[in-house]
Amino acid sequence: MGADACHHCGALLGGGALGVRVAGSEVRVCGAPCRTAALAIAGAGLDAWYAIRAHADAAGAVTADPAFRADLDAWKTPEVAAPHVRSAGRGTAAVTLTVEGMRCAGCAWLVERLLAKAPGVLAATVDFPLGRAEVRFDAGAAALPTLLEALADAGYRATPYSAHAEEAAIEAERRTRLRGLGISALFGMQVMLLSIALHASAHYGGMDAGFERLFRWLAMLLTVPVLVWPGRAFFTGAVTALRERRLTMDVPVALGLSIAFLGSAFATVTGDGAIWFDSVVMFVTLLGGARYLELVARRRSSATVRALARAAPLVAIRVYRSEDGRAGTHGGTPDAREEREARVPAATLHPGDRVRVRPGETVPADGVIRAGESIFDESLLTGESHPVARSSGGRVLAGSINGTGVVEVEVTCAGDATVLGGVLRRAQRAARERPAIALLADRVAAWFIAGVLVLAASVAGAWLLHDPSRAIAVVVSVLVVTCPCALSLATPAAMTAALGALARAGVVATRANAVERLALATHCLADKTGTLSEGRLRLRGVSVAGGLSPEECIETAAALERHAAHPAGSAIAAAAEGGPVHARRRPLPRVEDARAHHGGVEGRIGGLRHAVGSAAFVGGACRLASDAFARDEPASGTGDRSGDDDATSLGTRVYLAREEALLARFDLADTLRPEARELVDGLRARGLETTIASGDSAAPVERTGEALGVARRLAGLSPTDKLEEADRLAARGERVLMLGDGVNDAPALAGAHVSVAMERGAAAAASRADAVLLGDDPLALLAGIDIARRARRIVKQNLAWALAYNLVALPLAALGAVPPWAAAIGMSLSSLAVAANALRLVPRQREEGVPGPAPR
Amino acid sequence: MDILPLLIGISIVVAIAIAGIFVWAVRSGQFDDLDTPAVRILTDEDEDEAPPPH
Repeated sequence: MGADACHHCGALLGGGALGVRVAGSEVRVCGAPCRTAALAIAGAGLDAWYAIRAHADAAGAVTADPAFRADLDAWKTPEVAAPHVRSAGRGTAAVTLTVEGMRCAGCAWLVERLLAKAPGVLAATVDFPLGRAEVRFDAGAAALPTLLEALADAGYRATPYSAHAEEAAIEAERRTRLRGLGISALFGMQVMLLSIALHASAHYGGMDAGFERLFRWLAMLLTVPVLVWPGRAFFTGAVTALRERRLTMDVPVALGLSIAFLGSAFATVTGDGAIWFDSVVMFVTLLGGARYLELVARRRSSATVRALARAAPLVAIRVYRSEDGRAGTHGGTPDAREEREARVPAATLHPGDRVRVRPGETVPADGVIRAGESIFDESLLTGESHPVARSSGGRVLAGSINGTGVVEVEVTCAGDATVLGGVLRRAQRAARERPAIALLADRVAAWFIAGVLVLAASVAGAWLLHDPSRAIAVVVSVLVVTCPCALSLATPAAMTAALGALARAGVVATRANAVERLALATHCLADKTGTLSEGRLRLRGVSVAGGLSPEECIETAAALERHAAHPAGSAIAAAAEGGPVHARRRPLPRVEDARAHHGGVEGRIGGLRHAVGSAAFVGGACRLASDAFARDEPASGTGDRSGDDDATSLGTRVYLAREEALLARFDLADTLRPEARELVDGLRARGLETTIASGDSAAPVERTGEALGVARRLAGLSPTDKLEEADRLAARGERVLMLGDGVNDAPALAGAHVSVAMERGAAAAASRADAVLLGDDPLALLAGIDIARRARRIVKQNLAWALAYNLVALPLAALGAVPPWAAAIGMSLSSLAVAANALRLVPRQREEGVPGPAPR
Repeated sequence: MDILPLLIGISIVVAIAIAGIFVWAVRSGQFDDLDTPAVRILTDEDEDEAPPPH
C-alpha cells in the first residue's frame, strides 16, 4: 500500500481525503465511510486486522447507506425481527446472521471480535465458508439492530438468516447418517477383529473351542447394534419400496443383510457352520459411506439453489389508507395526507395490499402498479438485459429491481405464490432428484439380486440332494460373495468425486444426472444474449458534439448517473472508473440538485444545468431544439456499427446535454464474451457442433455467428421455438446441450437432454438447468464436459469390474469352492477397488491457481 | 490366555465409550463446520488478548 492509498479500502486518495488518528498514528482515508470503518475497527482494538487481512481493499462503513438504514429500521420492528431471534434461555437470545463482505480468514476473525465486543453480546462464532455468524446475546441489553450496526460500521452487511425447512431436513438427515456411519464403523471394527481371528483359526487351526464359541457370540452381539441402528434405514427403505411396489436397492440389501445375519446367527447358536457377521457390518458401513457422500453432494447443490432465494426482499413498505380502495389515479401521486406507511415483513403481505417501492429497491411481491411509473430491471426473472418501463396498470414481479420512480403496487401474489417462489420450488425439487445412472444401477442390481436369489435357491436345492450338511454354508457363501456392495458403490462414489471436481472447475450441478448427461451431449444449442455475449450494457462509443473531450463527457455523465439506478448509468460509471485514459482515478465532478426522473437524471454541475438520459428526457430537460439530435448524429466519434441495431431498444443510447447544447451521445451495447470463440472451438474439438438460437434480431445474430465461426444460426426465436429446435435436433438423434441464461431459454433448458445456465442469468433459467456455470465463465463448460466424460468412463469401469468379479466368484461359490474368509476379503477388495478408481476423479492440487500454499 | 476375556471386555467397553462420544459430538454440531475452526486458529491467539492501543 502506497502513501497515497486509503488506509482502509486501499483506493487511491483523491481530493476528498481525510486524516484520522488510529492506534496512535495518523493515517489517511479516502472518505467518510472509510473513516467510520477505520475508527470502528480501531475503536474496538482490532486494527491488527489491517495486518492480517489477505487483501488490501475493503468496503467502507455501510451505516450511512440509505438502503441499509431502511432495513435497519425494519429490523427494529418487533414483528419483523421476532421470527429470526431465538430464545436461548435465562433472558438470552440467539440469532444467526448472514454476513456479506467477508473475504478472508482475517475478516472472519474481525467479524467475530466485533460481534463479541458489541454491548450485550455473550458469544459469537463465525462460519466463514457459509458466510454466517452465530450470536448469543443478553435479550435485555442488546437487540438485532445493534448487532447489524456494529458490523455495518466496519463495512460488513449482515442480515438475519432463517433456516429453510428443506435445508433443516437435509441437515438433520446428514447428522443421522454421519452418526450411523460412525457407529457401524466402530462396531464393525470390533466385529472384524474377532472375525479375522476366526478366519485365521479356520485356515490354520489351533484355536481353543471355547474361545471360538465366545468370539462367535461376541461378533453376533456386536453386529446387532449395527443392524438395528444404522442398518435400520435399509429395512425401512425396503418396506417402503415394497409397499409402493418398486424394487430399489434397499430391497436386495435388506434381504442380503437378513439372510446373512440369520444364517450366521443360526450357525452361532448351533455352533456349526460359517458366520458372516463381518460381511454384514462391512456392508452396512460401506453402503452408509456411499450414501453419506451422496447426501453431502446434494446438500452443496441445494445451497447453490438457495442463494436464489435472497432475491426477494424481507421487508416491504405497506401503505394504509383511511378511506381504503380509492387510491392513486393513473400516473398521479397518491395523496400523502390520508395515508400511513409501515414497514412489514414481506412474508406477511396478502393479495390486495398496497406496497410502495422506491428507486433501487426490490419489488417484494407480484402485483399491479396502481400509481407512479418506473423502469424495472427484471433480468433475474426474465433474462432480459434491457430494463422495461412499466406504468399504472402494468404487472411487476417479485425480485425485479425498481429503477427510477416511486411506484405503488397492489399485491396480487405474495410469498411462495409469486413467480419467483414457483421458480424456487422447482429448483428445490430438482435438487432432490437422484441420478438416472444411479437408478439404473439400482435397477440392474435389483435384477441381479433377483437372479442371485433364484440361483441361490437352486444351488440350495442341488446341495440338499448332494450333501445336505454343507447346503446352508454354500448358500450363504453365494449370497455374501455376490453381495452387491461394489455394484452399489460404483456409481455414487464416482458421481460424488465428479461433482466435487466439477464444482472446482466452476460447474455446479444442480441436478444429480448432470454428470452423466453432460458426458453424452453431441450438439450445443447456445443462446446469444447473456450467454455468448455478456448480456450487460457496455459503453461502445462516445460521439462528442460540444467542446468537451469524450473522457470529460463520460465523467460528467457518470457523476449524474450516480444518482439513479439504471443499467445504462452503471455502464457509463464503469467506463469512467475503468477507462484506459485514467492512470489514476480522479474524483468525479460535484453534482448539486441532482434529481432522477423517468428517463434520465438532471442536476447542476458548476452552476450549469446538465441532463443525461434518453433523447426525449434530455431534450425536455435542457430545452434542446428538436433537430439537435439529428444534427449532431454523425459527429466525430468512436462508436461502432453495432449500436445501430439495438437503437430501438431501451437504454442503449444515452445523451448528455449542458444548458441548451447537446454535449455527447453514448452508444451502449452488449459485447461478445472474449471466451466465446474458444468455447465454440473447444466444443467442436470434443465433437459437439454449435447452433446459435437467439431471440434477438437477425443482424446481430449473423454477426455473432460469423465472429465465432458458427454456421447454424437462428434468430428471432420465441421461447417455444427454442424448445422446438431442441426437439428437432433430438429427433435427428442428437443429444442436445442447451446453454442459456434467460427465462426465454427456460423451456429449452428444461426440455433439452442436458442444460447449463449462467450463474448471473435468470433464476428461472438456473433452476431449470442441470448445471450452473459459476462466475459465468463459459470455458468452465469445456472442463466440465471433460470431467463428466472421465466420470462416465470410471462408472463404466466400476460397473464392469463389479459385474466381472461377481461372474467369476458366483460359480466358484455355488460349487462350494470359496471359503467364507475368502468371500469376505473378495467382497471388500472389490469395493475398495471401486472406491479407489472413483478417487482418480478428484483433481490434483498442482494445477490450482490458489495463491500460495495456505499455512496449515 | 485367561487375560483374553478381560481384554475383549475392555475393548468393547472402550468401543462403546467412543461410540457415545461420537454420537454426542455429532449431535452437538462438532462436525457441522470443518473449515472455519482451522482458519480461526491462525489468527486467534496473537491479537485477541492484545491490550487496547494507547
